[in-house]
Amino acid sequence: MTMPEFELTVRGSIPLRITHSEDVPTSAKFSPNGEKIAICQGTTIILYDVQLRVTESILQTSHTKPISELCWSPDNQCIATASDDFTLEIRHLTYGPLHRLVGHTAPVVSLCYNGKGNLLYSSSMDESIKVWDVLNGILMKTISAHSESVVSVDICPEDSTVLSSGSFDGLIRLFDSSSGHCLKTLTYDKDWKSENGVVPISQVRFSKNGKYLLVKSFDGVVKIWDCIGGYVVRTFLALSEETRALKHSCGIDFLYPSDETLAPIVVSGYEHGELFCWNSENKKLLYSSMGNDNCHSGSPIISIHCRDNLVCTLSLNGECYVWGARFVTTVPTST
Amino acid sequence: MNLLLQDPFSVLKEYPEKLTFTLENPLRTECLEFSTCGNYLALGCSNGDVVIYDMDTLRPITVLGSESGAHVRSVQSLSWSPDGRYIITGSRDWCVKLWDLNKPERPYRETLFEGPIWNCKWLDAENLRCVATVSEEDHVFMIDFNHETPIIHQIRIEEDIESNKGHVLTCCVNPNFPDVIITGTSKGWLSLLKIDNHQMDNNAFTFSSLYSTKIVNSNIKDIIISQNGDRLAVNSSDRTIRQYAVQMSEDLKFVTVDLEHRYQDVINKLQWNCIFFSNGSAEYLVASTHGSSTRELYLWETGSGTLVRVLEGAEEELMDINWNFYNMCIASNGFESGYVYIWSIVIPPKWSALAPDFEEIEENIEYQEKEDEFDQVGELEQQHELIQAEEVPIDLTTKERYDVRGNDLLRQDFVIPMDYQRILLMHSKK
Repeated sequence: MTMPEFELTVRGSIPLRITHSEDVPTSAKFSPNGEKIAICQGTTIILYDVQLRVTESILQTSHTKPISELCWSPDNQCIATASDDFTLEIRHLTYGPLHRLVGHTAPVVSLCYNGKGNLLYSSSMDESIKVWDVLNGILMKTISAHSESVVSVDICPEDSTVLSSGSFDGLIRLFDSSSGHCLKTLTYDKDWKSENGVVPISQVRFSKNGKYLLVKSFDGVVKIWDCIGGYVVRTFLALSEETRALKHSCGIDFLYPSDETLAPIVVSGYEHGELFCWNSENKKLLYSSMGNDNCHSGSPIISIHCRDNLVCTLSLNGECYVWGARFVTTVPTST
Repeated sequence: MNLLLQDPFSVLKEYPEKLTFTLENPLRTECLEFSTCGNYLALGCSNGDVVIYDMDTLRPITVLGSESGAHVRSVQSLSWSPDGRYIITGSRDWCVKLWDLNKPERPYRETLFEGPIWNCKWLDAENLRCVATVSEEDHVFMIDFNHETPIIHQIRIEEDIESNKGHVLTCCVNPNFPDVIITGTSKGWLSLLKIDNHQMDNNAFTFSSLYSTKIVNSNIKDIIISQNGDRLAVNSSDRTIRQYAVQMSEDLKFVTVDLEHRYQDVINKLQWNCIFFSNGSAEYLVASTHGSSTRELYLWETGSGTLVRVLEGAEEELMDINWNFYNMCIASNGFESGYVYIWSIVIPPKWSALAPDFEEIEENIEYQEKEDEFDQVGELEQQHELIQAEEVPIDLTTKERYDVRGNDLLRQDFVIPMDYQRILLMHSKK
């Protein structure tokens, strides 16, 4: 039996224009129903229609400083944004702004909705994670458990009982999403005390069932952790040690093939526009932008988001692509 | 999954112990029920409103019938459909209403009776059928909400009515046999009735009596049945709760109902307001007492019939009780204020979770070096171990079927849509 071959090809590009340095795009995300992509650039949100392949609208937020990340509400109706102006905004696509969430004391860098869409979690350079009541727009809880900027938070939509966070202090923590208590810290002693000091975390992302956590650290290493056991079950290394190290927080995500018998794919972007895909089960490299057309012109891929068979990649220079992933079964030719 | 990462001794406690929240519902609460997975709590109020609280934020999120069609008198009984999409409510305004939570502003369907409703329960939620008991009626009603104008079937057993067993005050549905309902009457008769649906005609039903016996000389106020259908408890006005073991053969030809225990307040001789079973085979029974002198819930172990816990903390007499097994909370409403008291399991934070190389201990212990504690492990060996861990298959997609408490995780509550209009309204008022 032959394993189907993995193919990743550019389906389209989303035009973005950068006019001044405050205008850099930071995050591009599919809506939960897959119909749209929202990209934040400066203080605006650009909505792109995936089917029609056109920019649908550009929304101006009330933020006074650039947005660092955005997140769709599970019902596809709202977009929440985290900004360098220390606040968050929840905006309904037809009704306009609903809430401005004030409470963080430093730039807000990451955010996520829980599966029901009634709570919003945000993390900030003020070293805390805050929990917001979406309906009433009020702060419910502050979780202080890191000693550096908390750069990434994630929650699994199908099992929203656990929240994960990654910080520049090198720690990955798991919290009970209702009580805010820390349940586990994922770290190796030896990781922590490595010769070069602490390795800051860049992004955390739960697997579909919430039992595993995909983690990228600033040394460019991608790992899958078993959340319950608390150990690494897969390590993915791209490039050489020097070239994979990150200056920017480059994106990662899981891509789930429509054929459920195939293992999920890990998609990871790097500092010089490189994109890598691995089979999560056997760690086999399925795709590498090296040797292929290097789409992102050597600019860091700062956001990756996958939905169904589509991958959206965004680089710091404003290039944003939608890729189509597919598996092709090739009949082996006998020699 | 959070439960898997917590102290197993705390997680696996079988009943809540501590009063953790009080919902200060401004409308007087009369009855309450959690949604199946415990995400929401619905409160039936004395003015006819039904308020739904989000258990994550502990704030009200919606009022049923906010546009039109709310009850105009006290809500006596309410029940969530197992999928969390629908709620049925029975009220003193003689109406039973069905609410679709996708459109909670007005009732989805409703029907009027000739008297106040005592209680209403789901019979077959997929087909929107429920049963209701109505004041001063000698039989139970089945309501088929599947039709635009709901059809009411009278579950009349002629012989029962001839032998004058009194008014039917309460009923419940057997979870094992969803076509078997259990009723209790004002003259102390406990009956099991079977509903047969003719295959040819979806709207024709026949009713037969499976079992009927007089168990007490006073009113039967309430009947509850365990999740697995093997245990029954009857609360009657003679100040006693009677617990029965129920056995039914597959073909329903043999039905036995055996008395297991009686629960009484020996000292104060108080009546019981409301009773509730724990999950599965109902290892615990919890009850609220009538009278202003007591403010506690009593919890017995049903196997031995011994009192194991008194749930304290409320400041008034408690009325209705509901126990959710997903979040392990017991909710009960106060008689005077109408506030809702919620008892939960408190899991203390684990400080060692913050630093994985630390271990929490109860008291100081003398340090003893373990045999292999400081062994020099070869780097190669360590590498080998890590490589081995990377070869074990991983499943990133399949969800766990049951949680550690045995609750079905495939069951998911319907998510009540966010009321954006209300947010906008709040802003415009500011």
